[in-house]
Amino acid sequence: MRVLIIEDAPRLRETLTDGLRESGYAVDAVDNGRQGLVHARTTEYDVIVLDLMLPSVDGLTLLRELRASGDDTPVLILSARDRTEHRVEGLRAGADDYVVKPFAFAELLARLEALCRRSKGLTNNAVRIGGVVFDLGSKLFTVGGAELGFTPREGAVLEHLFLNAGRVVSRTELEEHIYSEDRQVWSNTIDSAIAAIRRKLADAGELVRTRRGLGYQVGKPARDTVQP
Amino acid sequence: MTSLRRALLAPIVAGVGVTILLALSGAYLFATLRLGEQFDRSLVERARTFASLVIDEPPDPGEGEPGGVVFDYDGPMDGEALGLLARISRPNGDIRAASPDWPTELRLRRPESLASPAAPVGVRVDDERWRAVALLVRARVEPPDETPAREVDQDEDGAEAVAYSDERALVEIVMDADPLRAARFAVAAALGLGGLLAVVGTALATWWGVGRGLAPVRELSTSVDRVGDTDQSVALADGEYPEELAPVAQAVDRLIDRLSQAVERERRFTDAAAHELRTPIAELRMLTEVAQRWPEPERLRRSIGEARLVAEEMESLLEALLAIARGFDTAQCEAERVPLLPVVQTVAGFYEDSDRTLVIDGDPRAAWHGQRGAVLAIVRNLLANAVDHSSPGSKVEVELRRVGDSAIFAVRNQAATLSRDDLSLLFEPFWRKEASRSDRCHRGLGLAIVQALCAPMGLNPRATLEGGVLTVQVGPGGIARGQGTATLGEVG
Repeated sequence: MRVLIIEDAPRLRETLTDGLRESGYAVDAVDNGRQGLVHARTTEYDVIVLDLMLPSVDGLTLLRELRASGDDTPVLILSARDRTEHRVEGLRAGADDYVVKPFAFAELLARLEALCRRSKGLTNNAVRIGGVVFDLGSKLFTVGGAELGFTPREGAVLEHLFLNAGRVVSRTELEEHIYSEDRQVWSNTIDSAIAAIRRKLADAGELVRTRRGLGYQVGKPARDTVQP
Repeated sequence: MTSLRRALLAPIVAGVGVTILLALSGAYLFATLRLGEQFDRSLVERARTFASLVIDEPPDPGEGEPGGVVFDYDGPMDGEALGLLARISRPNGDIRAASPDWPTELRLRRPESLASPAAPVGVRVDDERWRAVALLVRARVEPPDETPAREVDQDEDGAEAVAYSDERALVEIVMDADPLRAARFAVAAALGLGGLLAVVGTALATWWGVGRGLAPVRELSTSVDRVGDTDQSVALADGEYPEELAPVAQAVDRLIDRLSQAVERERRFTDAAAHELRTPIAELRMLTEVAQRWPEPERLRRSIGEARLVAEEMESLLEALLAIARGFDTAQCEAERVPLLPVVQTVAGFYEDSDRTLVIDGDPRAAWHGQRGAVLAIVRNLLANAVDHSSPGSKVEVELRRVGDSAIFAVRNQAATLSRDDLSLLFEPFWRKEASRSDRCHRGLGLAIVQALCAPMGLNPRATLEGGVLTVQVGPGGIARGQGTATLGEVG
């Protein structure tokens, strides 16, 4: 999953980026509203983490412009403004969640997962497709309770396919969602990751299918959710 | 607690009581005098009546009567019949007639001269029981008489009225004084009861009146009680208070207004301070939590270093907040006369390498009286504010003018983005034109610190904006104000 952080406090922005990347997210981070708006309009993010008091374009203006343009990317506001009227204003401007600084990193992760879950129509963190269960919180894939040993890149590819089960996902979309902008993407990266996933899921049958000329697809007809 | 009602009641009742007592005493004295006069006048009239009955009767050889002074009265002379006691005698003590129950123990002073019937007659009180009148009169001659009258009294018209002989008689009248005493007692009782009732009535009226008069005070108190933390908009002066309380209500309104503004300032300050601390605390939490989750040596080392920087920034913020809250620590050094020009030149030295042109137009005599450290902090903050918020390549002007034994320090810089509406916020802690908090070097505390430091020195910071040029000037109170001016009292 790819996250855009728009936060002007450099230390907080960098630590957030570090923590989210370690948690398996592809993260882009910018320090002002204008750049944030450009990023949000040109790249498809799974979640946007948005500060309110930003240089050049403030967070609320950015959010309103995004929503006005039809962008429905889940937005989590991360702000030091803690009054009720601030939260109400943020949520009414189109935010999906509002977290007041300071915050616990675990809570932020849980809220990001919840936003992803809601945006994908899931009701809990576990997604089962075939015999494979994916846990959105731990980012782990298991078969019959046994963990599948995917690399971060393989896990990110399969996670995106699981969260979009039933839908054909293009190679470009996969690249956009698993890599941040500062990472070099090679032309065969996705293909090699898919090959590795298939090898490791050989016992689970043909979970990832190739739609020639279109992309990849998991699940049929779509996805099945279970309680963890 | 002292009761205003009781405090007012005591002097009012005492004053009224004394007044009533004096008035009643006067009335009593007047009444008893008048009663005594009436009583005595009546007694004299009776005595004269008795005296008119004293005649000088010629001897009647036929009847064998010797003649002389006689009391021409045939009725009983006892006290019960006459209502008084009478005795008629000759000057030699020869008693011609007397009431049988005449008090022999009574010794009346004999008049020294003849009492004219029209002349005032002295009345004496010879003891507590009796009041007496003694008249020395000439006996009347019964007309017609062969004996010519020796002397004839005439009335006012000159007509002959009564003839008198040379024979003299002493007419003594005594009367029991009990009715007079009873009347005096009645008067005293009536006045005393009236006075007592008047004092009690006054006390009750005072109690009620003062209570009624104080009712608006209770209403005012209730209204003040209704002024709560959230509802401070109550205008007490709008209530119907007596004219004596209206200034109090207006003063309370002004006090509430000032308190509300102070509370609002404190609230904004606390809110801004808390807001300012949220981001560094969030950074600390994120640094520690991420390092704890993924404790790689390099990350740990970096996180500890970053946490230390955050702590230093928070410490710096704390010191700035304390400077605003407490002002300059006056215990640190003594106030002195601080010439401004050397201070400005010292501070300006820090900006020699900046791309702003610093122009100083300074009167060497310009000086402030205060702590040198506070003066330095004021100048440093004002210059830093002007330099940091002016455009690169622009000019920053400093002007020092002597005003009496004080001085005006003015610093001007281009401020294209500033509007006049911003002036009222310039001295507000944490106010920044740019809402973003990414610039940790400028927390929006510089001018707030200046304001805090100026107050103990009797200086007043003001800001004006004319033609895109911001002028912040600090000087003694009473600097002329122009349009687009914000004063210390208006900001924050």
